[in-house]
Amino acid sequence: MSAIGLPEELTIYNASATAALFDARLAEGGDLDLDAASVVEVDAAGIQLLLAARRHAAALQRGFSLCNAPASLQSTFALLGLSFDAAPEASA
Amino acid sequence: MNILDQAAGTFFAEVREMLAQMEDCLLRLEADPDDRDTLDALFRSAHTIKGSAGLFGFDQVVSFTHEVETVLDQVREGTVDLSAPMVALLLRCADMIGVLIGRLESPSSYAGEDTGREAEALALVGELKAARGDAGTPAPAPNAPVGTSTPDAGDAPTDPVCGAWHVSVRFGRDMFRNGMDPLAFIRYLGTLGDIEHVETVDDAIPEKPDFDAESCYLGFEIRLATAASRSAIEEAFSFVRDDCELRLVPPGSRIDAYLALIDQLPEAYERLGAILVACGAVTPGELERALALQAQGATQAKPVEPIGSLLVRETGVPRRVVDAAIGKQGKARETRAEESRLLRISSDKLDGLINLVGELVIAGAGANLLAQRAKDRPLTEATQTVLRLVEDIRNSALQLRMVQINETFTRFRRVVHDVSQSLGKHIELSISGAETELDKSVVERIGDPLMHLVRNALDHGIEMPEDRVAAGKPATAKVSLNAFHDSGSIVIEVTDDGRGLDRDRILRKAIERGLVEAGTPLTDAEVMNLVFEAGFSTAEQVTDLSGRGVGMDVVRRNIEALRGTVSLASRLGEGTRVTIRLPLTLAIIDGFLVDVAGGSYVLPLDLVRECVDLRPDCAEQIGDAAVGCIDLHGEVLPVVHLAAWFGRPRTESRRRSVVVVQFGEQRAGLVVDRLLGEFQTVIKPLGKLFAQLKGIGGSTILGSGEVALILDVPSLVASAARGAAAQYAAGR
Repeated sequence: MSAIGLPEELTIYNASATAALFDARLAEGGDLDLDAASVVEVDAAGIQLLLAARRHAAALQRGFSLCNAPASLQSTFALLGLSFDAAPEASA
Repeated sequence: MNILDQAAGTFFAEVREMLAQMEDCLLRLEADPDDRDTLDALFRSAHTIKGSAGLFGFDQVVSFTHEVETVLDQVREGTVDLSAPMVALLLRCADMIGVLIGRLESPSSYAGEDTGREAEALALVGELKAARGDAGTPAPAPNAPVGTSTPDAGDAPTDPVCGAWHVSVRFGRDMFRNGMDPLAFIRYLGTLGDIEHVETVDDAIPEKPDFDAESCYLGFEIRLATAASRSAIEEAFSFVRDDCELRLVPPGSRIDAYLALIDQLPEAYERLGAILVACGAVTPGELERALALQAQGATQAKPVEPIGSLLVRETGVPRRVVDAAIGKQGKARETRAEESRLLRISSDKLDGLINLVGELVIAGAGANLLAQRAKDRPLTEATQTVLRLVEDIRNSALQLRMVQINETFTRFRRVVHDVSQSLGKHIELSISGAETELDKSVVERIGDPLMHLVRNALDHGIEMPEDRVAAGKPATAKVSLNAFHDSGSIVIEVTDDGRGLDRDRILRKAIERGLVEAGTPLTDAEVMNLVFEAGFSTAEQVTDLSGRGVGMDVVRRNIEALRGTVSLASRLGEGTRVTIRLPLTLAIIDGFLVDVAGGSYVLPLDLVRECVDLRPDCAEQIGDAAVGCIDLHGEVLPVVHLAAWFGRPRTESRRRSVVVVQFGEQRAGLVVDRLLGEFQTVIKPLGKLFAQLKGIGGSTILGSGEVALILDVPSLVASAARGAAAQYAAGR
């Protein structure tokens, strides 16, 4: 299955729609492989969405990955002390 | 009205509340300067005013309040003392904020005095800065403990602040929906100093079906190296103050403070411990030891000891301090919960509801009457049920309008404070029964008369301290406000232990003024109450008569307009007590319907004590007189023969009844032709034309559509007593 492309605006405005995409993928039995290449803008709702996706995938014992995060997204992760690297985190 | 105007209206109302709260806090702090909760509340009030004024761009208010807040912050950090002059200064500042706000609210009424105010505000700012300056920066603050820092999470350390603060924040669910982005707050914190570390706490994110992508479940633990003050950090969150849980641990705090923090946060100990270690707030060793102790407690099958008490044992921290830290948090949560359960409603809506309920009562009574006439049993029962329900609705509707008298009373703290300072008297105000509830419309209108009475007591009733000592009384005088419920009315008492009133002088004045004839036999109480007579008081008598009587007739008029009464008792040299009695509500009452010579009259049911038959011998005793006396259970009872009193044609009734009513301490009987039973009464005021009628207080509409008059029981009782006394005096 192909990676899910995240929207340009990973914000509250798209949060519900994007969450639905994730849910659909999990319902199909797939892993949550996310592609952040087109993300331009992110807010706390967007970050929370990623955190929730990771938790929900883990709860169903599915895979979770995030690739192609642009620099702006990376810096937000750094600000919040978050890491979405391939290796699962201790706190996740 | 546009949206901004509406919002501004809310803002003005809120600021007034906040100012009242500030004032209250300041006065309480004056009595107990160490009350941390009150100090925090005071700070929050000032902060809220500044924050919301900022939203509306009221720059002058913001900059002025900012100065106040800065001083308060220093008070909180212990670098400035909250002395009596400081409290007085802050009170003046609160007044100034009120003026600034008032000017914004209605610019026209403050026109032309701008320049003076401007200068005054500047002068106050100058004083604030001066107050800050002299107590300010020099060396260690007086309460800085040597060697150990205070473990109280709420206490800022007293050494120059330049370490890392720990900021713990949990955002409310509605953050996103309200258009707030928590990231913005964190980025803003970055401008205050150096964010050393952020841990994002996502533990609150629920499992899939419950997860709502538009709700906020996030929390952050932030390590912030900054020289900024507590208030500056709190300020960063001012827009979401009510919608997040913010906790700060100041730099240099020991592990205890963090343990207290852990205690207050919703997540599990271990998880929080890991977060704090990751932040660099505590070392793993410290944490392990504390948690091990906690776990040890658990394995010994003792009830798990809360971290708070653990601290007490382990560190010898006084229990008081720990309890304060923990108890404070619980309290804050409670108040917030309480507030969120309250609803602000325009009083017009409530009045509309009450009016409708009033109409419903009348319509219900009409339906019931028709059912009874039709002799339709099931229908009658049905209407009875409806009536009962209507009664319940009526009670709850009226309940909605009930407010505590608290707010009215606390206003007087300030009055007493100011007056005692300006007059050089030592006066203590004690308030009891502040939680007593009464109708909002009554509360609004009782303020002025009460103010009058309190001012009178302060200005004229209370003597100068030296006079008091000379009279063998304590130098500090006492003025008390007391409220309580008593058989369908609320009683408010204003008592002072001042010089009291001189009976003979009052009597002399009254005779001089032609209010009573010389030689009239009067009881002490009657003499005292002469001060309420119109025309009794004139300016020249202010000092003559212990100053009482200044506008007392106005007080009485105001209270009577509320269907209440006022009376005064006093003993020379010992003090004075003014008692105000008010009906609980002005809208709907439980009435008792009686028939007098074919007309219907209503009495307030609460005032009815009993109903007895009028014995023939008693009837004879009264004869045709409007007032008289009968023997009731071996006691003399003054009675009013209503038919004669109202000049109704005399009817031959086989059996008359006496309704015994009680108002305050006085009782009287009302002779009526027939008792018709209970009746829910919607009070309709009488027009001005009828204002002079003695014994009638209002009107109501019966189910049949007929009008019934509501008897003014207090005045009837008084007339009966007077009449009876006069008859005895005449040697009858």
